[in-house]
Amino acid sequence: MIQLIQNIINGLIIGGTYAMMGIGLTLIFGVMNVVNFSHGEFYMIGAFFLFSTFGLLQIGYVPSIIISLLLVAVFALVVERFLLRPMRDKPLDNGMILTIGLSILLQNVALLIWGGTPKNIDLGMSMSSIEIGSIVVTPVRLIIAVIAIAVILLFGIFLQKTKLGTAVRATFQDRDMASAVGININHIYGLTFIAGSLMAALAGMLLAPIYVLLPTMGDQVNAKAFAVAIAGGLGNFPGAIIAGLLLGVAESLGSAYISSGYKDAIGFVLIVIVLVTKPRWLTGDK
Amino acid sequence: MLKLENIVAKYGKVEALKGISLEVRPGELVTLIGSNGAGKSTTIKIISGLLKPESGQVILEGAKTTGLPPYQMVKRGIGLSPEERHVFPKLTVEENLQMGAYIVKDKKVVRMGIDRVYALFPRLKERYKQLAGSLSGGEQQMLAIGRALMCGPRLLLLDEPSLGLAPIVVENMAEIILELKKTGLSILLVEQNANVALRIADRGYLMDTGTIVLEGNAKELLNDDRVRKIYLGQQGKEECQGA
Ligand SMILES: Nc1ncnc2c1ncn2[C@@H]1O[C@H](COP(=O)(O)OP(=O)(O)OP(=O)(O)O)[C@@H](O)[C@H]1O
Ligand SMILES: [Mg+2]
Repeated sequence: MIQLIQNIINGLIIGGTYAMMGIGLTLIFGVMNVVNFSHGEFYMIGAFFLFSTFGLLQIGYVPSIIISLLLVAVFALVVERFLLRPMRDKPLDNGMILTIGLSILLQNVALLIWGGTPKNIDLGMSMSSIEIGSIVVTPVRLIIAVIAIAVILLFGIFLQKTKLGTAVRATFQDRDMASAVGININHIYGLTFIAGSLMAALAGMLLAPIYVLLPTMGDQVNAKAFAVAIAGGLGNFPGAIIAGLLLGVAESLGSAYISSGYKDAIGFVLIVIVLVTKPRWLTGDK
Repeated sequence: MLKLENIVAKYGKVEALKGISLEVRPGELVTLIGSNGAGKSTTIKIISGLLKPESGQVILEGAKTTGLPPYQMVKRGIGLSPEERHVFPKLTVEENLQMGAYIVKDKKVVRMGIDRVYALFPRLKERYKQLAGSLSGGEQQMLAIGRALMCGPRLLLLDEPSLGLAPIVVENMAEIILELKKTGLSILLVEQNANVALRIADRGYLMDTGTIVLEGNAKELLNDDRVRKIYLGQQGKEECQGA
C-alpha cells in the first residue's frame, strides 16, 4: 500500500513536468495553429542552457534558471518572429515541416556545442531524503513538484484573470474578431510562443538535475508532450494538466508493476484509450 | 467621416467588390442594402481592415487607412458588430465586453462603458457571468453590439443586426440604433431587412453583385420602384428565399 502511494507520488511529480510540456504544446497549437515538433528541443536547450549557466557562472540553481529562461525567451521570440510568422495563414503542413527542420537543426547545433557525451548537473544538494510519514521524497523532487505546481497555477490565473490572458483566450476562440476589437494579434502570437516554449524549457531545467543531458533528449519528451496534448484535447488547458499527471502516474505504476521497459509506450496507450473512449472533459461537452 | 473610393476586393479570383464608392457623413445613419452575396459584408470587412482591397482607397476622418490591420482601425474609432455576431463563445458576457474595450487603458472608463451597455441591454446585465456561447441568438446580437460600443467608437459598423431575430425584437433593435445615433455616433448599417433599415436611416445604398446600383435619401429609396420590387415586395411572404 505504502509502496503504491509512493509510486503515485513519484508519478505525480514527473507528471507535473509532463503537464508543463503538454500545456506549452497545446497552447501553441490552440492559439497559433502551429503543430510544434520542435517543442522537445526547447526542453533540451532549457536543460543545456542551465547546464552552461550553472557551470560557468557559478551563481546557484535558481539564478541560473532565471538567466536560462531569459535566453530561451529571446530565442523563442526570434523563432516566432522570423520563422513562424511567415508561415502564418499557410497550410498547417508548412509549419509542421518547418518545426521538424528546426528540431533537427537544434539537435545538431546542441551536438556541436555540448558534444554527445551525457552531461549531468550536480546541484550539490543533500540527497538525503525527506520523510513524510512513510513516504520518501528527495529534496530535488520536492522542488520540482513545487515549482511545477506553482508555474501551472500562476499561468492558469494569468489566463483566467488578467486582461492579457483573456485576450489570449479571445484570440484562441476567434482570431479575426480578436483583431477587430483592437487586440494586436502579433503580440499575442509572440507571447504565446514564448510562454509555451518557456514551459518546455523550464520542464527541462527542472528535470536536468535528475536525468542525464543529451542533444537528443527532446525526442522522447516530445512524444510525451504530444501524448499529453492530444489526450487532453488539443487546445484544452485543463485537459493537458490532467493528462500530464495521469501519464506520470501511469508510467510510474507501469514501470513498478509491469516492466520499466514499457514505460515510454504508456503515453501512446493513453492516447489510444482516450481517443477511443472520448471522455467528456476532452470534448468539452456538458 | 468615412469615404470609400473605387474599392475593388477579391476572394482568390472571385471579385466580390467591383469598384464601389460610398460615404458616411458625421452623425449620419447610412444603410447598405442588397440581396445575398451582393458584397455588403465584404464592404464592412474592407472598412474594418479584416480584408485588404485590391485597389481603391479607404479614407477615415480625412486620413487614408487603406490596408491597415483591424486593431489599428479600432484605435481610429471603428467599432464592429460583425455578421453572425462572433461573440467570444467561451468568455463570459462581461469578459466579452471587457475585450471590446481592449484599447481602453483606464479601468474606470471601462466600467462606465460596461454599465452603459447594461443600461442599453438590461438582459446582458442579468447574464453577465454566463458564457457568451450559451446566450440566445438575440442576446448574442445585443452582446456583439454592446462589445462594439465598448471602444468608444466614432463610426459604428453593424452587419445585419436583425438577422435571426423575432419581429418584435427587430423593432426594439431599430429603436436602439436610433438611440445610438442620437448620441452623435455615425453608423453604417448593413441589412437585408431593407424595410426597417430604410425607415430609420438618413441615406441608403443599394448593392447588387459587387456594385452600388442605387443611392440616395432613405425615404426616396423606400419609395423607389426598383427597391420596392426587388426587396420590399418579398417581405413577409418570401423573406427566407434566396438564401
Ligand atoms: N471568405 C470568402 N471566400 C470566398 N468568397 C467569399 C467569401 N466571403 C464572401 N465571398 C463571396 O463574395 C461575394 C460577396 O459576399 P458578401 O458576404 O460580401 O455578401 P453579402 O452582401 O454580405 O451577403 P449576405 O446578405 O448573404 O450576407 C459572394 O459572392 C460570396 O460568395
Ligand atoms: Mg453579409
